[in-house]
Amino acid sequence: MKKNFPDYSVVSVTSDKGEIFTFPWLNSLKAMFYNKDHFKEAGLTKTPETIDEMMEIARKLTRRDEKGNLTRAGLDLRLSGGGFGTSQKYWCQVMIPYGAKVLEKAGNKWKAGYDNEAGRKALQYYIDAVYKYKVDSLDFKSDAEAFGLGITSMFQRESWVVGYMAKNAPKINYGVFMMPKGPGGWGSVGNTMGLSIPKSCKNKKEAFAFAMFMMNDDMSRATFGDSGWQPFRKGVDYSQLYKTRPQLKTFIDAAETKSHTVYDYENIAPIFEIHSRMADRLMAAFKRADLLDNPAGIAKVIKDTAEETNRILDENGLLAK
Amino acid sequence: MPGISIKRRAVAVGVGGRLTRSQIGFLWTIVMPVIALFILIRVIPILVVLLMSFTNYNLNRPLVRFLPYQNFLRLFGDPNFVTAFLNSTEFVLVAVPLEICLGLAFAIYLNRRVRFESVYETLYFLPYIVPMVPAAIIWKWIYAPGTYGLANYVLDQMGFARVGWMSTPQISLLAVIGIHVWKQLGFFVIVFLVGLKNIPSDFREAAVVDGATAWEVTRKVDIPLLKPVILFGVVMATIWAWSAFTEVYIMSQGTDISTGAEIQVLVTRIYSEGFLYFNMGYASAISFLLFIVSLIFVALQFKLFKAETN
Repeated sequence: MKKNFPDYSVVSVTSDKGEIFTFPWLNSLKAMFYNKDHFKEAGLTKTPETIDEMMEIARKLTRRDEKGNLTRAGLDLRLSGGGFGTSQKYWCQVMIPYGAKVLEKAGNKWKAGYDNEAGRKALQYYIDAVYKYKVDSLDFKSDAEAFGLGITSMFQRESWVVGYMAKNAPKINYGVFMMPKGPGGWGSVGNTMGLSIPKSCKNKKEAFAFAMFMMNDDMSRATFGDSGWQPFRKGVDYSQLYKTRPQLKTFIDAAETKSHTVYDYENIAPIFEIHSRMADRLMAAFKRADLLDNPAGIAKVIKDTAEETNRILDENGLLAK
Repeated sequence: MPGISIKRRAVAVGVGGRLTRSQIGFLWTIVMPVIALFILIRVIPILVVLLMSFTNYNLNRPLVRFLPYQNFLRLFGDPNFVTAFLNSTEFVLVAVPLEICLGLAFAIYLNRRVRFESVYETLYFLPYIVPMVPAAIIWKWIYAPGTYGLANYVLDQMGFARVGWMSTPQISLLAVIGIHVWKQLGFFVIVFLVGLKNIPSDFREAAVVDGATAWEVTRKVDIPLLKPVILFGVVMATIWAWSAFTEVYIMSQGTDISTGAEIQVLVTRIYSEGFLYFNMGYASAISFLLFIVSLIFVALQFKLFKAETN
């Protein structure tokens, strides 16, 4: 496993008892997609390296019509959508750069890791983006579809977008850069999509052979090239693929750059509930214009959200006291 | 032959008009499977849900504790539940009158033998037979933000301001209720139309002879005679509104929708708690409360209609 997969991926599929419970097959690592034509039009010659630079650039890229309606989002933040995905993008976009954690481990227990200055700054970034700098809007198309329509200049997503763009928006001239750095750190979220053989499987040998087949070099190249989903496998030669899909290289670089930390979900039972409920509260907060220049309001939102996270941990006997 | 005819009557009806034992046995044999199925599918699940609602049962945790009141107490302090309850109540209070009034209005109009009546009936009934999932997806496109949604595109072309169909909570819920009413309306139009057509024409003719106008005939003859059908319609509309799920679920998913959490109704709340978070005990408490509230609403409607009839 350690020979063929990155260390962090092996860790993410190992239980607290040291048992590996699945193959780390695909990596949903996040990176920033950007529209090269928009950058050129605005006279921008390089991609942002920090989140502050990203906001400045987003402001230059944003466009509105004569009625003031947003016609191009400089930075498409995930302000809405399925709960889990929203909190995941938020975690990647702002919590990691500011140094906030969703969960902090203490021994073999956990507690909310974002009821702090870093967590408050993370929320403030989103509020400023929507209500101060207005680089995005709740009333605007979002995600890969908006990027494919050419109405978003930058957005965060996984490598499958490369496959999506090739099929649906081949004319968009775009690139990918690694998640920007912040005062608290540099990294991204890379969830593990596992390839498992259940204990109840009657044909374990055949299933194992199939799993090996799906993770071999050729299939890894095929999966990455056709769908865009990034295999975890180490040491696969993608040089031919980069000729037609150069954007994919950034995802491999992000996975292999040592100073760029890749975070994954904690292997605890209520993790989905924690993230979903956090997302519900965040999405409600994103709609609150009163949180602009309101540190006390932001602090309350973060505090209430963290209390709910801790309550869920407590109900499951996982709260660090 | 008198002896044979008496014997036959005894076999057919029993002595004194009562059913014989074998007849009763036969009827029970026929009815029992249906009753058993009803108990299995309806009664037992309700009892199981009621039992689960007094536990902390979670699929992630093997140990179950008895909670005599905690789940129900938690409901009132849970903002997600309160929002869902208020949304469901709004859903019922808006959708039911709209479905009944519009259904009745269209049925009365169609009952007057308009041209292309069957075409209108088909058009009204079409949304009802379209599955809710594709229908909601189409409406999601109609309500999409910016001018990518048909609704805002038309408003923009007409010079009106765009509406945040799925970004403003108050509008979002009404938009979803609109989908529900649009889809269910055809059912009520057909049901009321059939009811109107089954009213003997003698009553209307007598009213006309007495000098009643068309509107008076409708108000004083058709509607009173249609009351049992209207009661049926109201009960069905109420149950369907309380149990709305698909349209709310579809309309609260996706990155174009920013009011997902705010437009949750009780059934989507039950789904989230039970099947996303595996809190079966708590989800059961919400389910049982929904059952009681729906029952109260329907009972009140029966009482109201009975009082009016008397």
